[in-house]
Amino acid sequence: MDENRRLDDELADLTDAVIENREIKTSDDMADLPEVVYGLRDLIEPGDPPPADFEARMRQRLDMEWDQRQRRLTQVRVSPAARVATLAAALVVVLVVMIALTGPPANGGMQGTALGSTEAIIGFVAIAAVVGALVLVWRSRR
Amino acid sequence: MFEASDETLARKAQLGDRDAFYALYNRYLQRVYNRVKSKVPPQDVEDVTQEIFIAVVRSLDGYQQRARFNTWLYTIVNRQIAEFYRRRNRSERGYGVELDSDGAPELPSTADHEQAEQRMMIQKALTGLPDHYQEIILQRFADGLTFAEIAQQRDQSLEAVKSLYRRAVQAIRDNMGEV
Repeated sequence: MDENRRLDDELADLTDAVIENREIKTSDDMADLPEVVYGLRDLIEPGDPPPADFEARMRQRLDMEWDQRQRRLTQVRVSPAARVATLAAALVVVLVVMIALTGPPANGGMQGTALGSTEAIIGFVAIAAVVGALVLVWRSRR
Repeated sequence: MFEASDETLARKAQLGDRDAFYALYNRYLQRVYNRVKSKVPPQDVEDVTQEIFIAVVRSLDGYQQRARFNTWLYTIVNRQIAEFYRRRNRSERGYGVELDSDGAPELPSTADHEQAEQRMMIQKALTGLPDHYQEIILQRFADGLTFAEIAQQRDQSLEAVKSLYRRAVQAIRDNMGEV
């Protein structure tokens, strides 16, 4: 084993021992490297968990942050365009129901022009609403 | 028992699973806290740690599955620490002695003062290292990984990892000589 590799292993073993609070002897070849390892251990104190009161405060703060995130996500999912599209679809359903309730003319024949009839106006509004909703959905997806 | 990977938990958290987020939080709290301790004055460690986890919640949607979760997380840790120092430099607060509730300066004992000075020296020396040296030291001390685990995570041989580690420790000693 070459000298460098021996020193690498010795420093690694020393580090493991220091972190685990075990006693270990080091050779003089290590010079002042052990001091650095002890210094790092004292700086980071790897075994010390965060204080319980701090953790409790942070959990509370994170819960608030998480709830806000969820609200934001829900708002994004129901975008204004989607809301308009839903409204238009609901309108179409209402109009279709109205047409169905109005029913065909009593004598079954054609009376007057189609443009002047209630059904034609309702039908025109329904088609316009559907087209409008489709345009809004298409624009929101771009 | 089967344990979900970080990446799986992160994906679930992105979809709104609170338990998945807290599983990640519990997995990484100690490591993040240790990493912050290595770079930030003791009185600011809690605030910075909290800011990091808040930033994680806020930017969770930006995490992409292609990257390892801990790489993404530690990027946020480093960014928040850098942000802390930017803010501190702007307010020119520095490491100074803090005032207690009566407004009188709290004077540390000689031993405490020496210890604090030693901590500050080693912290400065550590933060002055190139990233790859800092990272291997933090993996061992802050993340608690063994050298074998570090080698596996970095896809390097154990010998290469130990060699890199010794060079990093030597670099800290050299930096301390200059501080």
